[in-house]
Amino acid sequence: MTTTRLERASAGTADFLDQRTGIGVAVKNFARKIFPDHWSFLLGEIALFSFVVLLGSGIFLTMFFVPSMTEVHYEGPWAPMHGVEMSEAFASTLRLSFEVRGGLLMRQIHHWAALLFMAAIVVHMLRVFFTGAFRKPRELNWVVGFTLLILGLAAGFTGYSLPDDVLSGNGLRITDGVVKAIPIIGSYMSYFVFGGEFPGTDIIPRLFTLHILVVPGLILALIGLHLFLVVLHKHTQFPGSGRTDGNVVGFPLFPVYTAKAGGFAFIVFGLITLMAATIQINPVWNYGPYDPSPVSAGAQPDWYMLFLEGSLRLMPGQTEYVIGGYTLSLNVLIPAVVIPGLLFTVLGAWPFLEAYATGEKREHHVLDRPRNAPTRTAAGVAIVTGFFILVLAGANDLIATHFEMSLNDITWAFRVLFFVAPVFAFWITKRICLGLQRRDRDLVLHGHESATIVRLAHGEYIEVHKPLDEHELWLRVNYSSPRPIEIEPAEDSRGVRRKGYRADRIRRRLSEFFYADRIEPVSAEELAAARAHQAEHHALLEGEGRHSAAIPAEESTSTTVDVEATSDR
Amino acid sequence: MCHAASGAGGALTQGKYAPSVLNTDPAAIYTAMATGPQSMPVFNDMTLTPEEKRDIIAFIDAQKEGAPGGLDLGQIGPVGEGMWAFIVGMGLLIACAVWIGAKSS
Amino acid sequence: MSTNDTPRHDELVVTHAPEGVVDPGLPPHQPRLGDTDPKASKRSERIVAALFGLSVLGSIGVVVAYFAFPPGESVSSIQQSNMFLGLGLAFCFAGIGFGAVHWAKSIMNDHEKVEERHPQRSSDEDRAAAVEVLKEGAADSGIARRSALKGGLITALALLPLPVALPLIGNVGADWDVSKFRHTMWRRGTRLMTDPTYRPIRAADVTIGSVVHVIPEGLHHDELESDQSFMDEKAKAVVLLVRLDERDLKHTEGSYHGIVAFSKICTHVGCPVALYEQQTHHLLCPCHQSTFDVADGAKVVFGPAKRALPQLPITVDDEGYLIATDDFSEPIGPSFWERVK
Repeated sequence: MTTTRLERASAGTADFLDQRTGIGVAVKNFARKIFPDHWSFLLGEIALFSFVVLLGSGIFLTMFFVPSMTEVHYEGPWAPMHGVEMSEAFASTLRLSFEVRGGLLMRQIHHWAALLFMAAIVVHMLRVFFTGAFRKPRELNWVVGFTLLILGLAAGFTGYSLPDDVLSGNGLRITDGVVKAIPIIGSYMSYFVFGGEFPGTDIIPRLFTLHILVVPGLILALIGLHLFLVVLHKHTQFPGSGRTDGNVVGFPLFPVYTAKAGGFAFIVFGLITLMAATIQINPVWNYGPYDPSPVSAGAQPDWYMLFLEGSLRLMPGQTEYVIGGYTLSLNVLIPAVVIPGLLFTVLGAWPFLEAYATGEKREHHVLDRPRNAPTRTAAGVAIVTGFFILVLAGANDLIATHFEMSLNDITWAFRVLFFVAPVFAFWITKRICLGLQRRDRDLVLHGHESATIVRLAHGEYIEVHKPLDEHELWLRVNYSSPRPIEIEPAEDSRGVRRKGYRADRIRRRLSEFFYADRIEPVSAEELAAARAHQAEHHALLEGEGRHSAAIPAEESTSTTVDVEATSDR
Repeated sequence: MCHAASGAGGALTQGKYAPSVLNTDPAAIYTAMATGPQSMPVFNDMTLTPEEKRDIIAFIDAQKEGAPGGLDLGQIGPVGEGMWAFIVGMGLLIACAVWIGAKSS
Repeated sequence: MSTNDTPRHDELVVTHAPEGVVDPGLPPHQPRLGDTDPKASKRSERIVAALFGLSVLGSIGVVVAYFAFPPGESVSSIQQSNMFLGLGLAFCFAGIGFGAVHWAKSIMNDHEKVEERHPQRSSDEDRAAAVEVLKEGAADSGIARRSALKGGLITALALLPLPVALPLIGNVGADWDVSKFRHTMWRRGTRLMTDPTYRPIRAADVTIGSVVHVIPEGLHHDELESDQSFMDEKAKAVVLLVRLDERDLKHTEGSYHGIVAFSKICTHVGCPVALYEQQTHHLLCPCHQSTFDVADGAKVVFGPAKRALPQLPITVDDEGYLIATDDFSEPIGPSFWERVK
């Protein structure tokens, strides 16, 4: 059998590498590694591939962008700016946009990729949250991912401030105001950040270093860790027949996922490029070079900072106090520091919170269907609702103009909704989850409704149900439904109060919050009883000479009389 | 300022708003600056010389030439951009992801 | 080789299903059209090849567009350059992407495979061995019962950040002179100039309902001292000048016949407050919607700001030009800890 030249070349390369690195073992272990297949597992990849785009387009931009606040007069082709005084940063941004071939394209690719990067991180995080993929052994990876979210915010903020335009410059002014509000050290921190008074001449070069070196370096390292942990733990999988906590069912890395994930990478690149080719983003020439004087209506940061913006807009101003000659600006600290601090702390600590409430110590590799974790799902929806209200509040003036409403009324509405809407969202989501669980129970016990009503000879009407096949059944019975944890009683047998009871009681309360409201899964007895009932029906139908499977209805099934006859609880 | 960086219009308090000036006749814009209709302040010739007023009108006019970067999404700034990133960007990518994960016929 | 050879994945599996219900295993494999029909398979192959071909076209398109569409000087030429380069590049990427995915979906083997998991935890033998190894190392180091070594190492390491952090942090804040926040360029007799055109303002020229953006005389590149920064001073000194009917003003000190001047820097977090509503004499800050009533000392009537905008007291000089009579009586802009002290 003759070997082709390609085969000989590949063999030669492989031999060269293996002799020097022993790479054969790695290839043996990883090339055919199995990854489960579900579209929602690709969301993290959107973030990863957007980041690759950011790196590539970013390198292009650094070849032309000048991170300096030295003032120059514009001499380029954009007529409205002719002769205008601006920083070199702004001038080089204009040059990139109007004189460098493909420069505007690269700027727009970079900015759209940044928006998508953050959007994908959030959507991916929600998928991980709602399916419980953060449970042991993946709590650490959740924390890594959460840190990536924060770093992404930092990357975006430092990035869009670089062109030194009026819009992002006012964003920096707001940052200065927030920093100054920090008690005791605020003024000094303002000097620290800006190298003196605002705006100074250091902030753009400093942001540049953070944006191209420090933050991306950290992000790259953490992405590496994030992916390493995914490979180490193996990816989670959705529940279903044949899938257990002890296996992974899916397709091998080479060639299927190489092609699917690799292909998806190029699709992400292509879509970002398509958006950059056809839709304008961040037209800094309209905002003008930064000067502390101008400002415009419609002053918002990029979408991922809108929650902070909305938070600042909603807070009433009366809460600034002067105590002993020192000013405590709660009207700034609460929306800009406390609220995001709370949000991020809850998010970051969630896996540990849930583990504490559950008391479970085993590994989880099969995901939860969100309906089977009602409190978690409801809490997630509540948090998203609160976050979304803040985002909308950040755009309250745009809502006012678009819907011809009063800015002040909208602000008041959001002030109330910020507290009311998450509570309502929690309650209604939980009810929906529990309802879906009941529906599943019904399906398990009775099967699918076939819309066929049969009247038996002795006058009884029965609805013929199509029983679940074994795969559908397995999906709906094999899930864990924890109970609130039990704790030792407050006093021991001799009536002595137990040490540590207080902490245990808090734990029990938390556990009850999570698990007290539950639907009992189908038990063996119920299932046996239901099957016996079904068997009776089939026997009756056979006796009548009808098939026991679903018979297509010849007449309309709007006769609702029979619905009552099916089991109801 | 009140009319937003692109002239597309902006919100004021209690339901008032500064309308878009992108489709307004230049003479009307000039008059508005000079007289200060309704809540708009007066920009007399000391505040904005006739030359400066004409410069402003030229800027607004230049907006009509279109956006160098492509579609301008109503010129409302980062909020519009973020919304489209989600709707178009994430929407299409999630559709692609669903297609990738689906079984081929 | 560890004696614990048996795959421990069974430890991981927990069943919640009611007794009697067993896992039916993977659902049966459904073949694709292309698996059984060679014509369908050929068609998939042609589609994939076409998609890759589209990518090639896109790449060529970019090269052509680079030369054929220079950015030029007009909006439409820039737009075209951006669009054609971008579309070419987009097709270049998307062709490869869709081609690869379609190949994977329709041609590549799609039989699901199963791989066993193992608990993350190391085996007990490995753990014990790890502890042994660490103990051995600790014994070798001789650190046991040598508290001077331990204490010295910890102290040295703990102090290590100091010589690195001190110069870095110490220098980053320039002269750390935060008292500069308290004062602006405005002095008694400083003329008010239009911003940015730098013309002096006659009181008589400011008609009722006017709003003028103001900077102090001296805030100009040709007139600043060498140690003054244009931007830094402007960031504190910008002022908004408004004329109301004198009868509408609740307080008249510091004003001149209905002309009032306030700091333009919002007391919330520092954006310029520039959106003036002539009829209500309300001043709106577009960043977070703080609203100030100019007729009532620019105090806050809505929004997250707490304090009124500081007023710049004004009068006219003997030529009729508006001048300041003093600097602001308090630090302008957002609050900070020592503001009142």
